[in-house]
Amino acid sequence: MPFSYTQDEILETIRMVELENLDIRTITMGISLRDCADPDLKVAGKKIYEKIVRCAGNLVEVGEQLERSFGIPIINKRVAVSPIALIAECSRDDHYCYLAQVLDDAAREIGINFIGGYAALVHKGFTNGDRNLINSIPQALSETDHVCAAVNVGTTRSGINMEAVYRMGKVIKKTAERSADKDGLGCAKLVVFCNAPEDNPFMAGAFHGIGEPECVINVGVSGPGVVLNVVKNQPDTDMGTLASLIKQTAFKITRMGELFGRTASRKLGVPFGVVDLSLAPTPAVGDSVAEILEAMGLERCGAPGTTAALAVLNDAVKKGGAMASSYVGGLSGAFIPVSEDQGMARAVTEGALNIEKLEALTCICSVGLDMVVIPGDTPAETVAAIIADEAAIGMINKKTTGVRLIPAPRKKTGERVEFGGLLGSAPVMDVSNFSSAGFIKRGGRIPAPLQALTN
Amino acid sequence: MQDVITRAKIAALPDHAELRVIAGAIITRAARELIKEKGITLQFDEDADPESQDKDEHAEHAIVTVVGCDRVGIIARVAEILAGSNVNILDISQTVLQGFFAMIMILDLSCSQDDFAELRQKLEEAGEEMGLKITLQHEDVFQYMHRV
Repeated sequence: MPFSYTQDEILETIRMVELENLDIRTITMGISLRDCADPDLKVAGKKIYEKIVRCAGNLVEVGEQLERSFGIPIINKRVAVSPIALIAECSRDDHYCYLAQVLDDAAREIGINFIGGYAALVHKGFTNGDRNLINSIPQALSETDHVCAAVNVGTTRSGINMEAVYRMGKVIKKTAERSADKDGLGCAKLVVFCNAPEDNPFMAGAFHGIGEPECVINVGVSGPGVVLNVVKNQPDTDMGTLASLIKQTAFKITRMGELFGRTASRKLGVPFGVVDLSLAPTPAVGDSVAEILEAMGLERCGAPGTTAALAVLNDAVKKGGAMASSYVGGLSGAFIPVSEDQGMARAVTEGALNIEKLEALTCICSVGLDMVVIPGDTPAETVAAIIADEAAIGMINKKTTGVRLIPAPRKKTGERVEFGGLLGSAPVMDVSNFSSAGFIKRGGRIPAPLQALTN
Repeated sequence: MQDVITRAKIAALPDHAELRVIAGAIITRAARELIKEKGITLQFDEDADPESQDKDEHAEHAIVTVVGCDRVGIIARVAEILAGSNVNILDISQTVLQGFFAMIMILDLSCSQDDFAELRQKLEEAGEEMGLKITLQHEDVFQYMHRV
């Protein structure tokens, strides 16, 4: 029987695409630049540009072919490269911004919207290259349009590098000031991680890890709208049944990721890496993780019970998704960005959700404090202390946490910031006025935690 | 080593020039835009025409769905387009979805004269004329989503 689909199955698929914003959020090509290092930064830049254009020159074209033949949109086509600190390190020149410019030019040439990997991994300490790269981040992000930066400051196995945490607090402040005319938009391209995954396809934190192959295709799926519709139609079912329905839906969404990943990999002649199962919201109405939590029976996201609701959602998505794909990786869980999710932004505006509750949610969801706008006069030490808190949650719970804070220059709590496009808009959130400076200035490293006695 | 055609390479050519492209060449997005702008024609080596490679080897079965308000002549119009492209209809069914008319057709594209994208465009345009949403999708989408 070539056609064993029922009418309901066919219409379900059509409904997901046409009415519920089912899409492939990103196809990200990871490219190793380890063979591009050179003592002369100009030569390294030339090698990098040529390699990216050679590997990913057809990426956008192939992505568009897939959209046409499967009838499902791919929102982003992107590239992630090896952490630039590793590549630039052997160069005599320490003006790494030049390489950010090269990445930006390459992104423009191949027509992608973001290129990730202006990154350094400093969870245990800095090399000279790491220091140079981190110092260059504010300038690099302000002079380029497509480049994203990431810094890993801690892991469960090595602890947290508190000197890096403090430095990143200052870097975030500087990056915001350099893009003050756009309310600190530069910070939307900068993530500070604990336990950063090496195969994450989502920006701004994507980079091509050192254990990855020469070139690889990773896919990030989406579909909060599809899950929202399922939850909305079941106002009275018990948790077990609800979790099971979410699981089935996540399975179907992830299968699309698998189909796109495998086909793209075949057409580009590049191995298929992973499907990232994250539920990634957009500012579009109905494409919101917060609304799913509200449909589960909470008046507003942030009300007591939100953490438990997110735990049910996150786990069910992972269980369904893991069955659907042969290789699962990246961040894989629900994203809870504030500005990119209009339900989250509304909860903040109405006073239902504060930064402390968001922090609690990050203990169980896939990323940390994401796209959170804070007052521009927040001291660097406080920004660093928020990073330290998130990194500690990641380190102790053996999970990835990230921080993408935007201290919007000259903005006060409650004022609204508009970023536009997929980055959305959000109110400035209140941050505690009590100082953490003494704690942050101690520096050193927080020792790695025990892996036993886990209570 | 594959040939890579970048924007810089196209920029060096005069307007309306001809460019020979070898098999499997990579043409970047920025280069494609400039090729259009300058009216340059690409001359593909034999077997290198990307259009012929694009035809998906196994694009044999596809599913058309028509969703919208019911009216006279929907099936006739869709069938006319399909017949014009030499596409065989294997099965038709219709139902009501949330108050809307919904028709499903299963197609065999193996003898189609148009490639998938062209057929899709024709159907979508006809849909817009009739105030309906017509979609054409690869069988793989349903295979992957509903069968393991």
